[in-house]
Amino acid sequence: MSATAATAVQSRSARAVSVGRWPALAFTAIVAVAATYAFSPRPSPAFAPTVVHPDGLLVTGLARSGARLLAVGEQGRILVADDARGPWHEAKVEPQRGSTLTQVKFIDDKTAIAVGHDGWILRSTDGGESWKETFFIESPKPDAAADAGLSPPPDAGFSAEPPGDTAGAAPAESGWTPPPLQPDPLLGIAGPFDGRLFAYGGFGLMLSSTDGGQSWQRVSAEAISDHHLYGIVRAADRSLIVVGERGLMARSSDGGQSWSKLPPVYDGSFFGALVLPSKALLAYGMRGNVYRSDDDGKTWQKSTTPVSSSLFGGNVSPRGEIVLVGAGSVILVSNDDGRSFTQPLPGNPHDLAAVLPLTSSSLLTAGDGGLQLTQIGGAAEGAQP
Amino acid sequence: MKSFMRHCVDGISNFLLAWRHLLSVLFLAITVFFGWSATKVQLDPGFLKMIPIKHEYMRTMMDYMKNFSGANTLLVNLRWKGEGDIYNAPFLDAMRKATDDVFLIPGIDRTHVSSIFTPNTYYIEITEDGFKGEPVVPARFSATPEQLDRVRHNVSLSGQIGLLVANDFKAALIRADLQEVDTGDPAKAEVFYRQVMNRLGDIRGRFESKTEYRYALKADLPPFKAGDVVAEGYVDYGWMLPYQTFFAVPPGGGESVPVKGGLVKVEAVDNPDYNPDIEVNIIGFAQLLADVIGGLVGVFVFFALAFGITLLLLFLYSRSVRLTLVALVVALLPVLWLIGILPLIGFGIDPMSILVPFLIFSIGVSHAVQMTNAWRNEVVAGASSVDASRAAFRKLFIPGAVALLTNALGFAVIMLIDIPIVHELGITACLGVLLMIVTNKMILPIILSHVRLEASSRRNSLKPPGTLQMAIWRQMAKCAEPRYALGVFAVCLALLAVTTQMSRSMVVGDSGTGAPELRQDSRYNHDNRAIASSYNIGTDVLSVIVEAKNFEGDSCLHYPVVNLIDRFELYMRGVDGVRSVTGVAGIGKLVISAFNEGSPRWRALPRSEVGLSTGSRAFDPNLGLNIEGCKAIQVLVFTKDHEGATVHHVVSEAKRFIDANPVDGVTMRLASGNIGVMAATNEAVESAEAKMLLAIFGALALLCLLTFRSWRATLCVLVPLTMVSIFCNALMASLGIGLKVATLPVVALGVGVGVDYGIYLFERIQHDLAKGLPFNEAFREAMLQRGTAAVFTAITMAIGVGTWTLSALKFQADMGLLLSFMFLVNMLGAICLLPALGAWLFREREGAPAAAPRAI
Repeated sequence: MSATAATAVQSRSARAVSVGRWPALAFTAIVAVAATYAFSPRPSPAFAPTVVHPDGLLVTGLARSGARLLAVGEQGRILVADDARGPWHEAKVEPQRGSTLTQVKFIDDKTAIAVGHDGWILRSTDGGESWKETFFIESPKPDAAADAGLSPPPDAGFSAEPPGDTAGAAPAESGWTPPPLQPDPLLGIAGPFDGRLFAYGGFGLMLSSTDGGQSWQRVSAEAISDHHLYGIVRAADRSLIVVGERGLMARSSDGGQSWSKLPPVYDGSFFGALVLPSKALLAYGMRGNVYRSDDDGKTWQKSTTPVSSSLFGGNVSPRGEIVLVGAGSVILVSNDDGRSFTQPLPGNPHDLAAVLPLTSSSLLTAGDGGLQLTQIGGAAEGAQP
Repeated sequence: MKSFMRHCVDGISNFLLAWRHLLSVLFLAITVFFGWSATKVQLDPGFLKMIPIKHEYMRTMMDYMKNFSGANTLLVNLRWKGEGDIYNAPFLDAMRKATDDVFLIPGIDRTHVSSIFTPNTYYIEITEDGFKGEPVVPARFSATPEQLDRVRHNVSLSGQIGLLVANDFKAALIRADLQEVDTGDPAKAEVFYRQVMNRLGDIRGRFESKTEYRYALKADLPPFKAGDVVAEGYVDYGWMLPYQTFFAVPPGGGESVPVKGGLVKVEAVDNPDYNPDIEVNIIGFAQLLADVIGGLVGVFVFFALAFGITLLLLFLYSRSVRLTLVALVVALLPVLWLIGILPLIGFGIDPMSILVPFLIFSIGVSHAVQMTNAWRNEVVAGASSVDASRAAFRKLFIPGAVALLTNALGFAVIMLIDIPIVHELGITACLGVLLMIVTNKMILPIILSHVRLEASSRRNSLKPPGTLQMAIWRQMAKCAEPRYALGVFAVCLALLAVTTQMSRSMVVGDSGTGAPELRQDSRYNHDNRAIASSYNIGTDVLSVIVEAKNFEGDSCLHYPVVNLIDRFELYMRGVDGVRSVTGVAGIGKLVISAFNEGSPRWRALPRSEVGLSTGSRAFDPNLGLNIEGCKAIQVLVFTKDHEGATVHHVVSEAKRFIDANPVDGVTMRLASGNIGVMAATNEAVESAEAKMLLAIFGALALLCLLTFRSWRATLCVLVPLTMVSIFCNALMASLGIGLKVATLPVVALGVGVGVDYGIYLFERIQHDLAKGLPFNEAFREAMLQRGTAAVFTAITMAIGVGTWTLSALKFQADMGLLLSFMFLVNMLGAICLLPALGAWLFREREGAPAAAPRAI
């Protein structure tokens, strides 16, 4: 609108404008305001804030103390909840190294230890809300590593072949020297057995702590040095048994100071071991293989399973059922102390790594599909917050 | 100045009529030339033109277009509708045949075809001795129950559930990439895509059609002989057959030869592969292209429909066959000229510019009606045809030319939008309207000077206007009385309050899922839903490009690079609206875990180069996620839908991550994929909206001020237009039509065309005001003289564009609906609100028949 023209007319007949035209001018003004409002930037609908979704995180470790539930997984993320149905929230981790966590365990009501890649160990004393680092193996800087000869041989790395192969050629136990400490992953945690905690993992890495996980010392033994270690249990005779890659079973009768291999019962890897309520031992692993021992690990009997999927996690329910989980979302249940297993639910493409029986019929499972609340015999349901 | 103008107009009219025979020949020659040129016009699906190419995101996309094409992926899904799952002999047989057929599609990248029948789909079983990998379907497959069980077992281990086999085991997918042909030659590209589309149609028909058609030559056509079957297919072309072209490969091989449909005879046989239990779903760029082009062809039907309805209305209005035909021919002229000009300036007809001819035709009819109406009045009053032409020209040239210039301005403003297809729409429409000044204002008087009005029409015109009609206009004219005007204000304010509130919920971008070009219930979108709902793959994807150019060796073997991608993947998975994320980090972790016997606890990125190299199989450029040496890596973020709000949220969350996580030497660039394109388009559209509105209203205000020399007249014309623009937004909000490339120009078009009514009416009112008549009487006169024509015009134009609502292309339907609405409601605004405003703004004149409105 031409402002000068408007002023000219207004001055000529100011009275007419103020009295005669105001309805039209007011209407025009209202339309102008309405148009400005109508075409001003429009609000966009609200979206949920970005958070780690319990079903969008690779979770490989679960722990419970009372009502408190902990779930650890990729990139050092730790989820905390007081109800398996959620809501889950993230715990505070200091410093956040971003290494993937593999297992978590409560050692008393409030104190929990989590382990992960790069030898990372975290400790919480407030039921899992906040975590402090107690161990971490720094990666050598690429240049420095090359100069110092610390870098693993190019064809080894994280493949199934451990770097310390030459160590096996050492002539005698006394002459064996452990390979230098490398940022290898920790894959499990066990104890405390007589006040001693164990953290163990890839390429024979084993650490122990006698002060509740505040400080850690390396355990080196030739018998276990060239295998990934996946589980440690204590037999009724108080000896410790470690299971691991390529059928490894080894026993320590001195609280973990020295280890000796047991006669092999299976070629494939064991991914974990359990102590059953009957004090029998159970080792589970590749392709649905489960072995059971009634004599503290001296002899092992193969249990029957209906699947050939690898089993990566297991637990015992409050009522004594044994639950194993693994690749393809396989869930196996045994009601006869681990002698035979059934598969109550069909599988799906996800892999499961850990299981926590909550009641006799409901399980919390964890894997690459995140956390899931599963009813055995009923329909599966998601654990949404 | 006015007398000078009048002088000019008189001069032009005398010139036109004195040289009318020579000019007729000239215009005829031009028409023949453009007619010839119009046959060369090319159909252009215009996908690339819908992209705001200067937008930051689109520059990223263009930079990596060659590396991460992906856009040309074809998905063919076979769904088993019978009992049980897909592991049965008939289904697997069909699947094998369909896979073979896909291999035969011209231009298919044969190394990248995958289905359960291709050798690149294998299962991996981790055993005590290491890996064991074999093709999912054994080499010698004979569909025995044992082998079917074997396949079921293998598929479950292959990791393809949700990718090549549906989650519910009721369908299986064939995935293939189409290699672009040399796009430098549009003709070749057209032939190529036509062949691909035919093949896709055949794959669908092979399992879904009961009959198969064989096309044999009627007569010899070297190198073929009579009776040779040149093509087989499953489409019954019916009467369309002569317009079909088949491509037959000669017996000795070589380039395929086009065979016209008229040369073949059809033989229908039973289709041996027909299976009522199998449904075929095909999605992908080539199929979308086929469907969009199919939809474009339908436009010609709507044009015929609009033409027919207009013809009828024109006749009812003029009661003269001759005038009806003259008006139609003159309205078609600019359309023909325009289509003739397009190939000359290198434009094709794309799905948006194809609507311009409708618009031009409608506007042409409305102007022709005004002119023939004026001419008839003169003739009925006793003038000769030639004198009547001259008088009509002198009366209407100025308001008509101003109205057309206003239209042209409205269309020119559209060019402000930096999206090529909209830009071209603006140019095309602007050109068409300018042509109309020649055809309607110059050719029409010449033609009319040759016409003799039929006696019947003359008699009809002499009859006084129907009393009902007059009564209606008298009632309408009451709007111009201050008391009634207040009532009009009250109604308008109530409407305004409601619509303004409604308009706030208008969204930017597309709604729903599937291809936004097509309707939700189209076959393509049905197929799209069928595939999206049974697989874990989405068709709405945002691709974020991670550049890591200056790392030594393979960038993916540097922890800071892959770790950033790993964190980005996890972050984006937590974003509301994201369905899944795929990137090298996630796949690398899977590979590393596979090398450690598949344990999920090993699914982590080692910090050393050596450790990362275990996962190097994931960094193979053939997977399509990175280029050689990982100098550029794309992370694919699949979203739940492509609604504007979702797109905005996902993109802004990605931006937030990028800003918060800088890594030395790594640049994360947004964005490619259809969501990237939509994000860029939506941003461009949103920022263009206010700019475009300000430009058009500013330009119109200036034009009105120049024409009427009165701020009050300008307000009378513009205020109703403003209100209707708000109404239009409210309508869009209530119908769920988003602001997008197709709907953005609607307001500009609607306002640019809608201003005509106001200009025509006010021009008339101003004449009477100058004579000293009070406003309400001036308005009544204007309504009696031009009201019927205005209403008639609005209805013709609304019908012309209203036929688009039948289009198979969703955005054409949306545009048609909104434009119809704009045309009709703008007309109502001009005959109701304009007088109400005038009644108050021109009020002080009451009792003071002052001098002419401020001197010109």
